[in-house]
Amino acid sequence: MSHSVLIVDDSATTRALIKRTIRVAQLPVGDVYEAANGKDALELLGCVKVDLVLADLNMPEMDGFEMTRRILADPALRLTPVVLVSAEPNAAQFAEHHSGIRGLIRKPFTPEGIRNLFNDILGVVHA
Amino acid sequence: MLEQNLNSAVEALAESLETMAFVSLLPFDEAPKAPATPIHVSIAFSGAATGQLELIADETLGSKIVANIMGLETGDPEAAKRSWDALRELANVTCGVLLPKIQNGSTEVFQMAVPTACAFDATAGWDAFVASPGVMVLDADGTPLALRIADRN
Repeated sequence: MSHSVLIVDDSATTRALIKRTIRVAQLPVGDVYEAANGKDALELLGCVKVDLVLADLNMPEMDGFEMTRRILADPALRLTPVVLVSAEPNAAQFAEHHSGIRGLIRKPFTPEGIRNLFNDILGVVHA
Repeated sequence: MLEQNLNSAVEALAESLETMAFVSLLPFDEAPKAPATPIHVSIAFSGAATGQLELIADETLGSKIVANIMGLETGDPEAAKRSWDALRELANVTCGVLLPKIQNGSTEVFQMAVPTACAFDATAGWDAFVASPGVMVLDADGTPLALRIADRN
């Protein structure tokens, strides 16, 4: 079964790293969408359905804190798993206070961390 | 005075660079000259302490980071295209690793700004930058990487 993922991070380098990890690990991911800030991500989520959102927190325009709150408050989106991928020191506290957040990966992360995340959240079996 | 946390900042930078891009930091034996194409990256933070973390790095280090992350050749134009972005992300990650180290028992939550990057005039500013408090210059894959942590009023 192929899953779709939305990567939300203002760093194109980080988005590319996550995409590469997905490809190299041969994770069963079909469509990979990208957004550079929370505002663009919410617009995208209004048009496409995804199985997982990987969200940075520290972004311009609309940060990940606000984006995540809006996702969790939206009846159409609140069941979409959101995982934080962040360097923010208070990311763990934010995740604890929002039960809809399914996990947190601290930056700097390793490809193994991303692979394990996909296994935990989507139940995929990775190589 | 945040300058007292310089060692913690160096540790955070080393951890970030090694984990992100497999680039090690080494000390310089003698005072290095400015990078050939220096980029100045800055990220402000507030909370338990208010200050900013700055890096001055050669643009080629950013390309090297991208190349290592993406499995590209160092000279690949795709790596060069993202060099500034990679340096901003390095500052972002380094700051995130550093701030818990300087929490000093405070329960106040840290806030990080979005990092910014601009070209740096080495002729005018390198010597003054490296002579200022809270600065260390390290060897990152053969190029000088200057780090500064300082209070911000």
